[in-house]
Amino acid sequence: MKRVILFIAVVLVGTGVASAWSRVYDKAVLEVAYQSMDEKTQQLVVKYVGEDYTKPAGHLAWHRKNGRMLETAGWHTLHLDANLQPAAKDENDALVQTEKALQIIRNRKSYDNEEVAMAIRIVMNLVIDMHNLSNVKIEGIELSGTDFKVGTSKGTSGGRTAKITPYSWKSLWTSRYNTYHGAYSPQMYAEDIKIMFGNKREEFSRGSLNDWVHDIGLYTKQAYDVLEQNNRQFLHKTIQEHEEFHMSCLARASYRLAALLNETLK
Amino acid sequence: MKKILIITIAFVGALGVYNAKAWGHQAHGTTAYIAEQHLTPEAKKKAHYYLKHTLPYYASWMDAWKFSTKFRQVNSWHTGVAMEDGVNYNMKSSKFPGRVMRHLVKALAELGDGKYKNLPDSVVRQRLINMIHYVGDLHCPCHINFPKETFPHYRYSLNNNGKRLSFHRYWDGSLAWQGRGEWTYEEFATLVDKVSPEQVAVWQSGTLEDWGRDIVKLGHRAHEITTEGMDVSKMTKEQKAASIALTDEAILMGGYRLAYVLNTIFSDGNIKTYNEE
Repeated sequence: MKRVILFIAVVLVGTGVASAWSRVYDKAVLEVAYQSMDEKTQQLVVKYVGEDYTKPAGHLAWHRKNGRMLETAGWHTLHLDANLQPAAKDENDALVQTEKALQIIRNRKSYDNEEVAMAIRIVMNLVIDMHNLSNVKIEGIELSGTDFKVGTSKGTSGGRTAKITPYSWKSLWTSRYNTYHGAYSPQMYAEDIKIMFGNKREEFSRGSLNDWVHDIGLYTKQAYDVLEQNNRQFLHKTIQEHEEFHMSCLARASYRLAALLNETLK
Repeated sequence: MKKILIITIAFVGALGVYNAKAWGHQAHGTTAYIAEQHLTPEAKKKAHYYLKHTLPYYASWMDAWKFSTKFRQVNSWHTGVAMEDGVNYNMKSSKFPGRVMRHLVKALAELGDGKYKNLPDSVVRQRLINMIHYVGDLHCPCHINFPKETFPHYRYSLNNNGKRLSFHRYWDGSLAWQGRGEWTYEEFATLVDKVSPEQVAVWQSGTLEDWGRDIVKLGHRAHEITTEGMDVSKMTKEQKAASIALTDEAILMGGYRLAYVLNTIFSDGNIKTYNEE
């Protein structure tokens, strides 16, 4: 019986997560990142990945869906220890794979164009992935990954008590905040990211990749602590209050990706 | 087994809510996007300063927050009511559901004539967020209710392939029912926003009382198009065209008027509520 319930839940949650919303976020990040790159970097990005510089969004997932690059399935997770320092145990880690791809980009003269293009696509995918809080796994924190369940609402609507519904940690950070912006295009999100966080570009992109990873760990921990304080149930109000925080994750990913490519493609 | 069924239904229901494409999300955002395209540079700059976002970003903010306990009162600020004559908008109704116009009037009184400059930024921001939603809701064809005393024949449901469908639900989600549920705001603007300057001038002229009369007309047209018991899955070509035309007009009228409201506020003007003022 439990297996049947689990199967139904997995199928339905999977359906929600697999919706196109998260791809909109990916493309928005690539849009803002491109606009924040140096002119020379922009030219090189177009040279390697093509005129549609947002096309690499979801590139690894697209390959896996078509039975290729199956070894990349675990690359999107960022592993951190209790002190929020990198703690990868093997190569299935966003930071490890990002660093490997960056090495290829830095030494691009030793590789053919397609290998460099793939490395750029990998960096684009993984920098976005590591800024999605549901991809961060912190040692010692139980269920900080994809199987964390939260309640979404408690309150009233039209005099009726709103239901507390099961929701996954992954869905929350992957697609929940698109609920009220369903018709948003990547360009619209990009516009909003720039209006909201354009003045924080330097602040967000300051430091090294390791500093950023620590930063990501900090705000994952903060969000997790809020959840713990609320008995693992996010109230509707709390979810709404985290929307700007979620947008800041998109902004951080955008400006950091631009900084990384500016540095490695110079 | 019963338990499984209940869990399944609850889950599907929850996903349905998150995936729903109601006027509340798509049409509200599209209305705000149309408005954003027609703001003066000055108004756009000031709106972005206060909102820290584009207009569409906050188009459904009031819907997103109405489930939170502290904001539950805003749940009744989304609809309006026609006068018994079926011509005029009830501008002063103090009872539910006549509140959306009252709150727009109140917000204009607070922000108009340059008064926004004397308010804290956070207050201006919140009023703007609400106004973006008010103007969208005002123009939704099913957000104008008709008094049951004079329009008892307007209280009915539609059906979708044999299943009951509320009149409100059809028009709230009319873009999706019309096969346009996946359109982005930009697509709508590119394909549909072909309004002539003369028409824009007509929509943006007059008082809120005049605008109310237009909105009552939109409500009547909705009832003329989707009549009692109509099966929306079997609409004729003409009925579909009429439905699309009404949705388009409501969104565009709302969008151009929202732009006018913000352009007026940020040029230190105001919009009159009544013709007799």
